[in-house]
Amino acid sequence: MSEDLLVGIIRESSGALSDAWLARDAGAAEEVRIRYLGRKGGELNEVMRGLKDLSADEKRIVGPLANSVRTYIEASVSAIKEDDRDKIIEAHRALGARLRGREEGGALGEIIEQRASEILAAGEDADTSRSRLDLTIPGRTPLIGHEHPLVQTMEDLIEVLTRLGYSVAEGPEAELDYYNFEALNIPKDHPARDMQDTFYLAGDALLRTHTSPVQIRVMENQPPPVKVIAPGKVFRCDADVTHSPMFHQIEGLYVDEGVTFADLKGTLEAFVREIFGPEYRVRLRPSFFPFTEPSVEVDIASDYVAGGEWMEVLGAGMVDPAVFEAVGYDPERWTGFAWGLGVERITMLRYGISDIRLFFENDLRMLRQF
Amino acid sequence: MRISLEWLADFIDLDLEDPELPERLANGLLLAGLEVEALDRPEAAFDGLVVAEVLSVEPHPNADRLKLCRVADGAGERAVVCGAPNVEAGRRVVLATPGVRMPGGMKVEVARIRGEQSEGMICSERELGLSTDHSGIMVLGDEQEIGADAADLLGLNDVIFDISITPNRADCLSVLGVAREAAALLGTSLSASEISVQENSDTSAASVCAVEIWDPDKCPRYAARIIQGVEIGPSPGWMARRLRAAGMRPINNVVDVTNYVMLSLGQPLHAFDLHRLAEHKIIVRRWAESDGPFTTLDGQGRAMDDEDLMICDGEKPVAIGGVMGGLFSEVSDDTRDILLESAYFTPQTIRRTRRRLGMSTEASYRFERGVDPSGTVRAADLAAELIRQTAGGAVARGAVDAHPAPIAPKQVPIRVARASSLLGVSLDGPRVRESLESLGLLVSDEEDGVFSVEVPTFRPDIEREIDLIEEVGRRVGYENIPATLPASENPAARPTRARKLELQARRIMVAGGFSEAVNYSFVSREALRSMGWLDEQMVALRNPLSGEMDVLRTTLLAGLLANVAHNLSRGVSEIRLFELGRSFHPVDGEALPDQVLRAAGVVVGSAASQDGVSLPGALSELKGVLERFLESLGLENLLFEPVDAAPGWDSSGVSRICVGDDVLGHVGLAAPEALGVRDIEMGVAAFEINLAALAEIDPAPRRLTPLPRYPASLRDLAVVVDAARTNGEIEAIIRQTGGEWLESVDLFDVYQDAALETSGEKSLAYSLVFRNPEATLTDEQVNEAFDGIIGALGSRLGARLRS
Repeated sequence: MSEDLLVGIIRESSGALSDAWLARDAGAAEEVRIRYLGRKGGELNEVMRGLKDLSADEKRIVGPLANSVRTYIEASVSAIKEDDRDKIIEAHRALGARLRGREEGGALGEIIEQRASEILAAGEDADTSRSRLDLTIPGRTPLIGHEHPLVQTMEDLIEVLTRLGYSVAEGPEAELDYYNFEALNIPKDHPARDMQDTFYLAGDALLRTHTSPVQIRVMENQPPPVKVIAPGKVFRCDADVTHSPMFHQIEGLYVDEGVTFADLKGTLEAFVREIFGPEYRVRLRPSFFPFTEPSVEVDIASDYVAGGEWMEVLGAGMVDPAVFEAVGYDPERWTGFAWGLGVERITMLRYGISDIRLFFENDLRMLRQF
Repeated sequence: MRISLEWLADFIDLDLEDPELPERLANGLLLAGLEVEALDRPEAAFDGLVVAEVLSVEPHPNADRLKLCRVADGAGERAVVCGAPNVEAGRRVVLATPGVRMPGGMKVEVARIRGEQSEGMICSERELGLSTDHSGIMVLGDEQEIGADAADLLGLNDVIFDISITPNRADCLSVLGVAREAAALLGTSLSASEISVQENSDTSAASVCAVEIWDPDKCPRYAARIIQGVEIGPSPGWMARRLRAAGMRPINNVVDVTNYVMLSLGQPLHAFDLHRLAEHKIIVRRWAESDGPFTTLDGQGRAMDDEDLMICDGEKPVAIGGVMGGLFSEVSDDTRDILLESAYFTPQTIRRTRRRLGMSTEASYRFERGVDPSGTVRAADLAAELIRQTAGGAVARGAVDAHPAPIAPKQVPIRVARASSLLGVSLDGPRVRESLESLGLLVSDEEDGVFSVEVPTFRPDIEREIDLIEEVGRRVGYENIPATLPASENPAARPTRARKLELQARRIMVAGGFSEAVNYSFVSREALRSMGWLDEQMVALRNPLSGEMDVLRTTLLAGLLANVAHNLSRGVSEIRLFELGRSFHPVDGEALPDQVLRAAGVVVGSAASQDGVSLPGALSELKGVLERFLESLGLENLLFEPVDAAPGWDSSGVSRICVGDDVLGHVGLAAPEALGVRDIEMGVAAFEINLAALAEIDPAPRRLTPLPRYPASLRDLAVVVDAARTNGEIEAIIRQTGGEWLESVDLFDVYQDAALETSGEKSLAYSLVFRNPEATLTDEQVNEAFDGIIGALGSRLGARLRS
C-alpha cells in the first residue's frame, strides 16, 4: 500500500518538476515541494509517518525509497530555483539508478531516466536555438500602405502651424472670380492677372489659382482676430517638369491689432527653421503681390544644401488695406500678414525629386518609397 | 528686362573698372526688389583685342583663298594670314593678338598657316560675338585710333543684368528706371541728362501735321515730331550693339532709334512714314464699323471692336494705339519724312485690346503697366535728335503736343508713426524723408508727424500711404528690420469633422495596406462617359490644357482607374490605392458647382480568398478595409444594399453603401466598359463614398460593453436557401429573431456543390454566439432561440437546415 503511494508520488512529482524546469518556474517548483514535503499534510511526510505501522520487511524497503524520493524532490526543487541543469539531471539519474535495482520499479526507473534525457535535450534545444538566431533575416512585414509624399509634407506643415496657433480653414477649388481676384485687389484689367494663368469654368467661375481666396472667405465670416491656414489644391494652365496644372499650396493669414512686418519676419524665420531645420538662413526681399503690401519673396539657404545657394520657398506680405476694405475690416485698426507656399516645391527639395509629374502618376513603385 | 551695365553708366556715375561692381549691384538690386535672375559676363578674355590698320595685302603662296597681310597694331607691325574677301590695305580692323580668348573658347596663338607665320587674327562680327555676320571681317571707321582697346570700343566687356520686373514697377522697364533704383542704392544721384534736340529745320512741326484726340479718356496725351529728309540705313554699331544686348534685333536706323529710346527711357514710340498719312493728320479715336479689319505691320489682318483705340490719319486707321503699327504706314527703305509718335495711353485700354487680340508687344507691355505721362515730349526729343544723328534729315521746330487731359503728380501723405508701427522698426522723420527722396519723390516739411509726398508721374504704382511705407521699408532694407514673434493668445480651433474623417480614413486605409494617390481634379470627358456619366452631369473647363483634362471629375474612380492602368503597364500587378478628394457636380442656378469630399479605393490582383467566403479576393479585401473604416465611425444602421445596376459599376456586383435612408456611395466591381477604355484586363474592385455626407451623420456615442462574466454558448447554423438570397437578408432575420441573448453572427462559409447548383440553391454557414450577461445560459434557453431562428428562416426565406 505504502509502496503504491510512493510510486504515485514519484510519477506525479517527476512530471510536475520537469514541467517546472522547462518553464523555469520556481513558483511551480515550490508548489511541488509544499505538496509533498510540506510540514502540514505533505504527501511524502504522510508516507514517512505511516512507516511505523509497517512490518519490518516493508519498512526496510519503503523507508530508504522514501528517503531517496525526498532527496530527489529537494534536489530538483533547488535546481529549478537555481536554474542548475546539471543538478536536476543528477537528481533524476540518482533516483533512476535507485529504482532500476528494484523488480517492480524498472518501468518507473525508465520514466525517470526518460525525464532526465528530456531535460537534457530541451536544454540543448534552447542553447542551440539561442546561438543560431540569424537576425539578418528580414522580419515578416505587415502589409501597410503609404501616404502620398505631398500629403505627408502638407500634414507635417499643418502640424507645425497648428502648434503655432493656426486653425485649418478650407475653401472651394472651383471658385468665383470675385474671391480669387477682385476681393484680393486684382481687378479685371490688372496686369497682375497675367502672373497666374487661369483655368476658367462657366460664367464667373474658375479654378482657384492660389489658396488666397480662402483668406477672403474666412474674413467675411468672422471678425478679427484671425489666425488660419488654408491648405489645398490650386490650378494654373502650365505644364512642364517644374510646373503642374494642379498643385498644392498652404496659405497662412494672421490678423490682429498691432501686427507688424517684423512679426511677419519672425514668424517666417521660426516656421522655416521648424520645417527645414535650425541651420537655415532666411532672406526676405521685396516683391509684388496685389493682396499684400509690403510684399516679399522668402529665400532660404543652408551651408549644407546646394552649396549654400538661396532657394525661393515662399511669398508673403502685410495684408493690403484694400483687402481689409473688401471684407469690411477697418485697416486703420487691424493689420496682418499672409504667406503662401508651394507644397510640391518643398517636397521636391525635401526628397530630391526633380520631375513634378511623378507626384500625379501614382506609380506604386514611387509611393512605396515614402 | 536686360540691362547693360555700360548703358546704365550713361545715367549714373559707375566705376566700370571695379571688378566687384556687377555682383554688388546685382545683389543690391535683388534686395531692393529688382530680381536679377542672371548676370551675363563676357565669357571671352579680350585683353589684347586692338584696333589695327591693314598696311598691305599679298596673295598667300600656298593657298588661293588666303592672303598675307601686314598690319600695324599701334605697338609695331605683324604678319597675319586672313581669308576674308574684304580685307584691303588702309582699312581699320579689329585684331586679336596672341593670348586673346574668343567667344566660344578659341585661344588666339602664333601659328603657321600653310607654311606662313600668322601672329594674330583679324576678326569678323560673328567671331566677336557681335552678330551672325561672317561674310567678311569687321571694318571700323577711319577715325578709330590704331592700337586702341577694341573690346572697350565695341562694348565687348559689358555686363548684362537680366532682371525680372514685377508688374507694379513699370518704371523699371527702362535703363533710366533701373538707374534710378541703382542711384538710391549707391547713394548717388542720377546724372543730369538734359536732352537738347537740334531743330535744324525752318519748318515748324505744327505747319506740317495736326493731331486730334477724340477720346482723351483712353489717350490723354499724344505728341508728334516731324523729321524730314532722312536716309534709311543700318544703325551705327554702338546702337545696334546695345539693342542686341537688350535682346532686340536691329532693323534700320529709324526703327532702331524708337526701340533704343523705349529701352532707355521706357517710352514706346512709333515712326510713321509721313506721306502715308492722309492729310498729314493724326486722329486718335475708337475703331468704327466702317473702318473694317486692320492689317498690322506683321501682315496679320485683325478684327477690331469699338472699344479699341486706333491711331488714324485723315481717312483711316494706321495703327492700333499702343499695341502695334499698321503695315501700310510703316517706315520703309524709301521713307524720307517721318512723323514720330510719343503718346500716353491709359493702361486699361491697352490691356483690354491686347488681351482681346491675344498679342503682346514691347509697347503694349509698357503701356498696360503705365508709362510716364510727363515723359512723352522728352522721349520724342531724344528720338528726333538720334534720328537726325543717325539717319540725317531736318528736325522740324517744336513738337505737336496734344494734351487734353493732363495727369498731375499725386500728393500722398505718410505718417511717420504709422510707418514705424506697421514695419515694426523705429523710424524718425529724417529717415523717412531721406528714404523717399532717394527714390526721386518730393517730400514736404513734416507737420504733426505727417509728410505730404509729391509722387512724380513716373511712379504710377504709388497712390496710397501703404505704397510709401513699402518704399520706406525697401530703403531701410528688410535685413535691417528686426524679427519678432507676435504675442498670440488664440489657440488653434478644433479640426472640422470632415477633416477628422479624412484623417481617419487615411489612417485606416494606410494601415489596411492601401497607398494614397493624388490625382488631378480634371479628367477627360471620355473617361467619365465610359463610366456612365452624362455630359450634363459634368463641369467643363473653358480653356483646358488638353482633351485629357477637359472636365472636372465627378468621381475619384476616374483617376484611380487611370492609376491602375499606369501601374499595370509598369509591371506592378498588386495594386491597392485610395484617394481623398473632391468631385464636382453642376448645380442649376448656382455659379459654383457642388464640390463633394469623397474617399475612394481600388484593389487589383489580390490573392484568391482562402476563407471559404465567396467574394472575389480583391473585393473581399477592399470591402474589409472599407468596413473597418465605417465601423470605426460608430455608425448605426450601416448597410450594404445590393442594386441591380449603377453607372460605372459592373451590374453583376455592386452594392450601395447606406446609413439608414442615406445612400453614401457604392462598392463593387468597376464596369467592363470603364476598364476597356483604359486597356485594363483584370477585374478592379472599387468603392467610393461621400465623406462630406458622412461627416453630417452623428456617430452613436461610444459606451463600454461590460466584459462577459458568464460563458457563451456557441451554435453553428448552416442553411440552404435560394441562390438569389443574400447574406444580408439572412443575417438580418437571424438578428431580428435570435432573441436578446444573441451576441454575434459571423458568416464563415458560402457553399454551392453540383447538387445545390442544379436545384438553384446555395448554402451559408454562420457561427452564432449566445450569452446572457447576467447568468449562464442553459441548453434549453439556447435551443429555444436557435429553433426560433430556424423557424423564421424557414417561413420567411424558405430556408432549410443543411443536412
